[in-house]
Amino acid sequence: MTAPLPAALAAPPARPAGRWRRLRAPVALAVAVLLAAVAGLALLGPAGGGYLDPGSVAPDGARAVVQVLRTHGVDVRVRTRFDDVARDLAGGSDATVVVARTDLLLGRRTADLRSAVQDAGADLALIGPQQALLADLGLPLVIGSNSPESTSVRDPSCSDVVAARAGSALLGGLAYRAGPEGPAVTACYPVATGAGLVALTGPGGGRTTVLGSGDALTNERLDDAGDAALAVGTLGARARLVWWTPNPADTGVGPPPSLRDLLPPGVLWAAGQLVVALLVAMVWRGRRLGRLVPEPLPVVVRSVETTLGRGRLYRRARARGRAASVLRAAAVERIAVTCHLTHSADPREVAVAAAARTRRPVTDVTALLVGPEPTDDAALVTLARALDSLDTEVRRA
Amino acid sequence: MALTGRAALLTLVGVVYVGLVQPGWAGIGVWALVVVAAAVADLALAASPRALTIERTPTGAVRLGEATSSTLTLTNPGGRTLRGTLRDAWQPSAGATGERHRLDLPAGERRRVSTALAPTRRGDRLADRVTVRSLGPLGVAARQRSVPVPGWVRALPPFSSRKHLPSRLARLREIDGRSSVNVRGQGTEFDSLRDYVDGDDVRSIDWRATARRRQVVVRTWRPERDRRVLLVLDTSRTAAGRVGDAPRLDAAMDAALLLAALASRAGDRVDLIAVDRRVRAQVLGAGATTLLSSLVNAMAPLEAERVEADWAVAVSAVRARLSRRALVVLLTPLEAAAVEEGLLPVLAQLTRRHQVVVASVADPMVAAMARARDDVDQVYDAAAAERAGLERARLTRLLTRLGADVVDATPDQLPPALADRYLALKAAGRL
Repeated sequence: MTAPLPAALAAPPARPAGRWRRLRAPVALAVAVLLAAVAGLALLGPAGGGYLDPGSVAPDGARAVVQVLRTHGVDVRVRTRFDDVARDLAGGSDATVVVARTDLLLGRRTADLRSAVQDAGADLALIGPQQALLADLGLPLVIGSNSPESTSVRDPSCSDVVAARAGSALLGGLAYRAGPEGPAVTACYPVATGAGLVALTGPGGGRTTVLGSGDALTNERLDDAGDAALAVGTLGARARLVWWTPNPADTGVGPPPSLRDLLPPGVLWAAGQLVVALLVAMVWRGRRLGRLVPEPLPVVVRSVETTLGRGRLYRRARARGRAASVLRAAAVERIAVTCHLTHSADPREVAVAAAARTRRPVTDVTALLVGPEPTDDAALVTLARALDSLDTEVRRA
Repeated sequence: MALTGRAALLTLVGVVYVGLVQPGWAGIGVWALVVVAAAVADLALAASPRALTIERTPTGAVRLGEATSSTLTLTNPGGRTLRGTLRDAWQPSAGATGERHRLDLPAGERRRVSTALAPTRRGDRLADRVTVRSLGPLGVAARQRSVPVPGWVRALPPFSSRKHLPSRLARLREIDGRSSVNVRGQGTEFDSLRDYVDGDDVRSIDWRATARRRQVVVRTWRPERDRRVLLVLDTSRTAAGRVGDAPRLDAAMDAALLLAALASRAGDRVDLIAVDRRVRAQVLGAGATTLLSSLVNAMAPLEAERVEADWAVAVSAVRARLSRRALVVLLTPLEAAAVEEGLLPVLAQLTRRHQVVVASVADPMVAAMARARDDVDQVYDAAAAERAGLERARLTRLLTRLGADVVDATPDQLPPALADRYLALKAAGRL
């Protein structure tokens, strides 16, 4: 006989396993939460940047072009605050500033950029600047059409060295032309209403390149045609590249005044005094007029509590048999007294006497007083009521 | 020392000063100095509560449910007027209202303040300390001192069953000597002779007196007087259970008082002992005029103790106090364990010499539970209640077999029921 032992008998050696079984669910839950958190971070982490973000590896990011430039020995500095840009330009004039997100260039930062580039004689690359920005920067260009052209691979068709070396590239977007009374500019990658790339001599004597679209610089399209060559040619001509993504909050005006600056100076001190007043009020209200008076109190237990407790015990034990026999015994005793029998009379005698008084069939009354135990709660309730009504009838008869 | 609302207000005014005149730590400091200076000046100039002499006029006893008051006499022997507040603190059950008094006591004068008391619980309720708060002239700070001034109020049992007394006294007169009967029985004694009137029992004709007077004369009888009644109040744990709002002990006291009032009017001598493991109180040999006040004063401080009654002690205490046959009334609840183990073994020693009545306080809720049979929970409760009823019936039979009479009734009905049982025993000449 090698019947397997019941699990309960094999319990002692299985105890560690039992503990593991108990802990399994919480551990699994903890691991699942941890995994979900890691996966979430992994998925969400790189997606932080936007269009042409030099740190983003998303398809519309520009991390690839930054890496390419770094392998070409260009000192690429990614900046968001203008103060850093100015410091980079002051360090050495051999630099290119690229503003990929010209839509973020606001307010006096445009003038700051213009003067910084002018002072340093740095190269400047702008992607998709609007007419107002061109005017602010003092560039003699006009936008050919307000509706952007479609972006596609186009031929340079010009004499510019960078464009010629790069060959065809992905360009389009806004189209630029030379202004009506401005100096001549080099316009490459022609589209219907102007050119996709315009190069001219900037405010500080450096080369200024304006691109209609930055799609060529995105991670996704850098491989296409001569995009990479165009990017390196445009952005990597100098030893240092300052990639400026302007932060709209970096207005150069300083932080807004806090609530504290706006309040008159006395208010805070008055609040301090208010706290002192509150403390005094607490002392005032907290001082008792004499101590609390103790009094020994008697125990408060209802005398019916033991009976109620017994009822609860019957209920919890579902002691239907016991309850029924007690109810019957009490009814028998009451009826016996009513029928002038002794209290210890046999229940069958009492049943006969009660039947005679009430003119009920003897068998019915006997079944009621000495019958079997009720089988369920409903039967118990029925029995209790029947006993009660029999008692009443006997008394009335 | 105590600060007042005025001190808080003064500090609050400092908010304006600090905010507008002198913002900074210096401003807060300056204002703190102002407040502290005002408080110190007040404390220095306030009349000393230590010098005040306080005397309490003793408060008598009061029936539970009635109100009284406690009076303090304050004398200010110092040189300054004492202004401020006084609190005469009492235990919560003393039901003190208006225990705070405003004081304005010029130097060398004397004032009385009284606190209304309406005790909510029977027994002795104590006064705690009297606290005097003496304000300075600015009303910013006060000197405060608490002194114990002993005092107590005794809440006597309410004796609410005295409403039953007139009807029972009328019944008593019917069987008492004042309305003599011409039926001779056990426990009756010869009263007087009177002329025969139609309807008198011919068996009560006194032939010898008739021969002397040449007129038919009958003898009249009356129940014996000068019997002894001993009330035994059980103060053990079973008396602590609450029935309705009050402990069983209070209901037992009510019944005892009605019986005592009735029996003393019937010319019997009533004594009382309260007993659990030892005799806690006793009233022996009190005259008819002082009986009730002695009883309520002895009962007032009694509380049910959380101990099991020792009936051997109780029975020997009863026997030591009774030399001849008496009516012994045991006021104890019919609780199976306590009665079976304590009372039954020793009851025979009492019933052999004395007439014994056991008066028990029943709980009307048990009867209500036994009747309610609407759902299954109620039926289980009803079974428990019926079981309790059977138990009491069994105990009653056991006690009756040993020669005791049993009166088991709810708190409202127990006093008249016990009085009726007494009257029945008296009429039957069984005392």
